[in-house]
Amino acid sequence: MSRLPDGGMVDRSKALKFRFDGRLYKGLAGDTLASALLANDVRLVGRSFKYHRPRGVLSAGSEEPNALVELGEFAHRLPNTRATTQELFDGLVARSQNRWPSLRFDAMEINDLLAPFLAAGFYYKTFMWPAAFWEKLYEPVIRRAAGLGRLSGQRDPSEYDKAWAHCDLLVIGAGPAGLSAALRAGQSGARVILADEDFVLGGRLVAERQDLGGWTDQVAAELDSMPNVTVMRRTTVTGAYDTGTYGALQRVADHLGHVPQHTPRQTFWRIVARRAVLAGGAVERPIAFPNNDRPGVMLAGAVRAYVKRWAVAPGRQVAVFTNNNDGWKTATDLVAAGVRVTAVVDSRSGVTLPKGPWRGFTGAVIQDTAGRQGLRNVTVRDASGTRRIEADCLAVSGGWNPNVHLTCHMNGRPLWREDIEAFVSASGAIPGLAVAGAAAGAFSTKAALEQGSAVAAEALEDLGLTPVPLDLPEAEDAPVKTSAFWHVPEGRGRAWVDFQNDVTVKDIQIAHAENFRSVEHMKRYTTLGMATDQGKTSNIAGLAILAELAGQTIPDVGTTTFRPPYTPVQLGVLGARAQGNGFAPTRLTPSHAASTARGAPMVEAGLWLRAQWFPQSGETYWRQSCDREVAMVRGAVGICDVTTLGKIDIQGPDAAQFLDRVYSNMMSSLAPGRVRYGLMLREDGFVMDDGTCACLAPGHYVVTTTTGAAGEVMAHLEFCAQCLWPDLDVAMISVTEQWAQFAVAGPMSRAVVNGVVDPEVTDSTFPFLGCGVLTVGGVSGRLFRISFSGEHAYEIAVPAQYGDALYRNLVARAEMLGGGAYGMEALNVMRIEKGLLTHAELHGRTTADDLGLARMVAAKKDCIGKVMSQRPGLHGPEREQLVGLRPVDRTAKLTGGARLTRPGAEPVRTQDEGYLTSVCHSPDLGHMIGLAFLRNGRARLGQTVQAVDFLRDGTTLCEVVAIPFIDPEGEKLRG
Amino acid sequence: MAELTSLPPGSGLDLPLQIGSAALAQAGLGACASVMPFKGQLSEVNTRLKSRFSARLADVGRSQEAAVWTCWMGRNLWFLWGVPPTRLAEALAGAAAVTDQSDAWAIMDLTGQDAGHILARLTPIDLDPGVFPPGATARTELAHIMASVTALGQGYRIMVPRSYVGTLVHDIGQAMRSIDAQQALS
Amino acid sequence: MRLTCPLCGVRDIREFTYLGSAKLLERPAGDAGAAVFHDYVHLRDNPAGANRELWYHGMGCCAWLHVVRDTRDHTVLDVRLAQEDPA
Repeated sequence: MSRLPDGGMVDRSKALKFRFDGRLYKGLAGDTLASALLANDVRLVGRSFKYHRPRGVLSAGSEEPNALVELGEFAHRLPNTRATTQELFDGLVARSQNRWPSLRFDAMEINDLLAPFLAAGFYYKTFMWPAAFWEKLYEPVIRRAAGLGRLSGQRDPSEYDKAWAHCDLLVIGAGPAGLSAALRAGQSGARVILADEDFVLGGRLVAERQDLGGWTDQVAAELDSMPNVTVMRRTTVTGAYDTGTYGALQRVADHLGHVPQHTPRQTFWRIVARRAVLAGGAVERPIAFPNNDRPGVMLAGAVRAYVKRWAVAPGRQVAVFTNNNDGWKTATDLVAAGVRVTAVVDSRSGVTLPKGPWRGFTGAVIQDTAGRQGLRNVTVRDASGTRRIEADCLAVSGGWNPNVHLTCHMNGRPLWREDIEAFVSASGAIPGLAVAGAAAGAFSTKAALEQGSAVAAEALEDLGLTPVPLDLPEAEDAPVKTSAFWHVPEGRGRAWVDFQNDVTVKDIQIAHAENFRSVEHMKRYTTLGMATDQGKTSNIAGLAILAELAGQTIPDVGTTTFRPPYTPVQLGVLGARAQGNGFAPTRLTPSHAASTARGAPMVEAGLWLRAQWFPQSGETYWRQSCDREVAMVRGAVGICDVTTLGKIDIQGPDAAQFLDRVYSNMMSSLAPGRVRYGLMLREDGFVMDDGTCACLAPGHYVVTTTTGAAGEVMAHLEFCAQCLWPDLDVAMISVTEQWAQFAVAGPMSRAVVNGVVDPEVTDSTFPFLGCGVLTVGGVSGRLFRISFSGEHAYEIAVPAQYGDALYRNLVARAEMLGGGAYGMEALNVMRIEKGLLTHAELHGRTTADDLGLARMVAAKKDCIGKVMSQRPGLHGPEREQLVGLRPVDRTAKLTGGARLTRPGAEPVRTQDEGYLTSVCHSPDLGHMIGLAFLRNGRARLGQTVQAVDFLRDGTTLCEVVAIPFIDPEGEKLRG
Repeated sequence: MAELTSLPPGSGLDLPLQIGSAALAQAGLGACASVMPFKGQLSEVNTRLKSRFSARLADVGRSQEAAVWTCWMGRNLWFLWGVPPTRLAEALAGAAAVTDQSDAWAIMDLTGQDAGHILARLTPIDLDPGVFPPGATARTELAHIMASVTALGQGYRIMVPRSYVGTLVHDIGQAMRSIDAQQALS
Repeated sequence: MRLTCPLCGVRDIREFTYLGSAKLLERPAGDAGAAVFHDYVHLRDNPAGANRELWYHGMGCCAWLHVVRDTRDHTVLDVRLAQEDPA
């Protein structure tokens, strides 16, 4: 065991059992999986992406490239979980990734021996030919050999959530800068959200021996107690978006062994912040030297963190390799904690190392390392030569990179600061966001505290709040002393830059030699900086090496583009509340309960559910029900819920004039008590929608829209009223939901209607296209004599609360007359027989003339779309015009979407003359019929065309006929 | 024929819904009418409302409890509860467009100390009492539905078009269960 | 992204839909002819910078908004009710 006898923020009274690769271990409450593995001397935790090299824990945070595991079992299995951030819980089960058959003996390690052939660009150069092999052979083989964790292949059973939060100040990161910013803003009365990806507040304060005593805990407790401050632990701010919106992933229950029912495992937050402070700290960078990827080679700051926070010694003999003074702390901290330090190797000449029980080397580098599955020793080279030093852990510090990631999400480019040899964010890169502390390149604790407090005060003043003064504790203020050192130049072994993607210094050299010299090209050629860690530990070194090769400065080479998310976000949480019933709202009609009670299957129409047909006993196939319902309507009477059609109430002194402008036909001449069919065009001259317009009283109209276009038409009418003609005095509102409306259709419809209305209606009080207000079952209702079936028909409307009762009553009355309920299928058959339109025909590419409705564009007035509808290209024999089709062989099938050509023509695009939009079997005619758009179709009645369906039934010879198919004179409507 | 029987929105749903400390219940407010003043008629409308019903249209973004509950519902649009729409239409003839909206909306009250946390799952607006105090009202998206949200003293009044009530109750219920479960974690 | 609706205050972009250029406010007279309408319906400037455009607060108060937005970074420079600001 490598657990130190005392210290650490772990609860030694709470042992937690966990399994890694099947073996049982014990950790402590407060551990991460990584700290628990290290405490159990497990140093080999994974295999590398390409070469299957043994790998160990590199870091102590979310930048981890190596220690990725599959967490959980079966459907719960979560690949690529960072052991360095995963909290340990009792019963945790994790497995190593990308190895076979086991972590210790990985057969794919052969790749490591083949490394000379597997360098950057290898795939592109090798698997070029034959092209067909790529998909079938090369890619599957490569994918099996390389990669990360495996998906379970099962539906993720976890629950996820999404939520919104709002604040004056969002503080990202709870290190010294974030804590002082949040504390000052909180004490000043602002609404504050403090988010940190860790489960403990403090950032580096909990990782460094030089902490602030009890300050961190005190501040955490104070922030937790403030009602105006929300502390979000385990929450990573993943993206910065326009106008102060931030994305954040909260791991609600990832630290629990048992997740209680209804508890989301994670919540994705959209945080709306008037101001924000980025105090995300810095990520330490490794140094590339030969064989620098062995388990035991770690970041120096991480080694200090394991010792301080988790009381775990990552090694028994630790060597330190640094290019900066900060690295020295590792040696002093470890010795103070009782860990043996064998050597301190500093790349700089002429510096004076601190004194201690170690061998010191300056102007020295690590030349090589040894130990296949775990570090055994390192080879140090300085001016005097090389020597081996015993070390099972090497703590490496190549300096620190401020965490500028979020500041680049809106196209900001970071700026290079020579004094700290690192990129910092340009000011104002994200409007409303200020950067403080190490994230801004202020690496001392004192500077971080002061900056956090100062930027919070600025933000509050911006918002018109008064910041209270904040007392800050005494803190270290060591200046940054570093000298750039990216990689050990000459050496025999490979030196890794990107551990996760197995990119070495040599790969970058190859990319450069092969002219992939732009940093974006180099990234894609080598894969440096890709995958789950997005190059947090490797990007800067990669471009520094590229700069060196190109003889340029680092800022000249520039950075690649940081994009959200900062750390990986599961698709499951992005899809929270969007699965199953959450995908879209469902709208139910007033007749829904009565229809489902009759066993009607439902079909989606927009968001609505509508009854498709009403099966009766003995009917086993939908066509039987549909044909019966059509015959029932045509022979007696049928009832259908048409509540879903959009209904818009339009009133005002200028309502009639307004309607004239939005409908292509004249509406101002419509008298009270009358209904008119209306056509709306878009301004480009194409048809937008059709419907009816009923005049209830002078200046008071109710217009209907198709079910699917109700929202679009409402927005369009509002656009016309507010944007085009604000001088017109007109008011409109949807009344779709107020009125339950039912079609009563068929020769016996009047008898049914007269059973429920008062006074009785006659042909003279309610002629075809009449409307009016009357009493329906004791309540005030509306009656319209309109028809979508070609039959004598009415639509009857009552307030929605009475819809269920009226529907049941109408159906019962119809049934007594040999009629009954009918659904969408029968409705569709009857409207095709009559050549009436739906959005299968009004699909946005058809004009009034195409539809045979040119007479509906009134000559005497202007309307939306009129001028453009008269363009020459929208008229004439080249246009595809609406016609009827019937199969020459009356038993043949027609299919919607089939393309039309001349008989015998080759079915290719250049021969195309149109297409079928709607088809059905007509029970009246005894064969299939279809509506189609056919080039110059109205002039081709009686001709034959062939309908070609590439997906289904091949070719059908059809006859072009006039529409409607039945009752062309409309005698049934008026009779 | 016999008189038609009435079904309120949400009939057949499991209401009221009580989960943990939160409750979702249907609010029966009775007759409701929309009022859209014609051009330049806002003060005339208020004058007539005051003399006939002791009411006036609420300010933009506000609702107002009096003899008549009025709620701002959008650009140039108010709803009034408690006056028969036909009477209101007569009273405001020539000054405003009035329609009957009594049946067009499902109205639910969500109460309990976590009501705000529950709605934060479903709506993008800021419900903090500092910016959305009792009486404040907003038209916004809620559970993907075009809704109206009004702050009450101890909860929120949510209105959605009637046909959406099943989705509304489903989605709010799911959020209530989630929040209740999360309360047990800490 | 967020837009400040003059009636509702600042709201998330999901409540709004985008229509297009605010040139649509300047509808020609009915007798202006096809060429003028062609320009009105089809021809648009494509500025890298301030763009006048129309948004609809359809999930909110149903007001049409005349927005001036910088196309380079989505900075919203101005929002008015289209009704009060026809051109």
